Amino acid sequence: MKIMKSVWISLAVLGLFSWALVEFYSASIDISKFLQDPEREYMFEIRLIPFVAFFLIGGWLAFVSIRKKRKYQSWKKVFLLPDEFEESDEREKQLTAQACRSAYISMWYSFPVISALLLLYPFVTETLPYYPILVFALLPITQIITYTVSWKKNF
Amino acid sequence: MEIKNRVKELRARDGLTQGALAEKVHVTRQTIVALEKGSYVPSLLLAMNIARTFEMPVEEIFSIEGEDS
Repeated sequence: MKIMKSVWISLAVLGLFSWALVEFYSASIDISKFLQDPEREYMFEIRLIPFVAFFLIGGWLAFVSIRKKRKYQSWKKVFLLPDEFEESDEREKQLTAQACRSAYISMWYSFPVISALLLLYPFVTETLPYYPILVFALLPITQIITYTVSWKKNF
Repeated sequence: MEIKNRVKELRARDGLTQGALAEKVHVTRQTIVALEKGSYVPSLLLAMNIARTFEMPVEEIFSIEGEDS
């Protein structure tokens, strides 16, 4: 099924993006400390591996996806619509609509849970300073999974 | 109320594969599969395209379950 490939690509890009943000967050903490104490010897340290992985792997996945979609769709659809949207006929449009409905409903359940998880942040500030980034990434992951389950169930 | 159809029977009569019928009415093969299984109710446009392909009136291909056609 084509949609599973698109879903794995989306999850991979999302994972890489979150990883890069986590690294960037550490750098932001350094920058903040530097601004408070200009006598620090350096402004910030950052590991480049997450960024390189995001731009190389994410860029390659985006290129593959765009090249595949460009054959069938307008440029607007290629760049603005997610890969998971399979709408080559009326039934697929209906499946997409049902899956979007499910994903929207899932937001109303996942949002309070994710907000509640943020309340745990003071307890993990030292061990996981980037905890909010990980928790916030749960929202799109939940929606992607709900979308996929709905699509596969009705296919 | 459910809609039943004679697509599988008529497709066999005309010697069409699911893929060939799908191509004629501009949908995917999976849509024809779902249609024949009864798990998908087509739009009026698709029903009319199918009727035109089989050269029959729509009501002779699609009918409401339990009603005489």
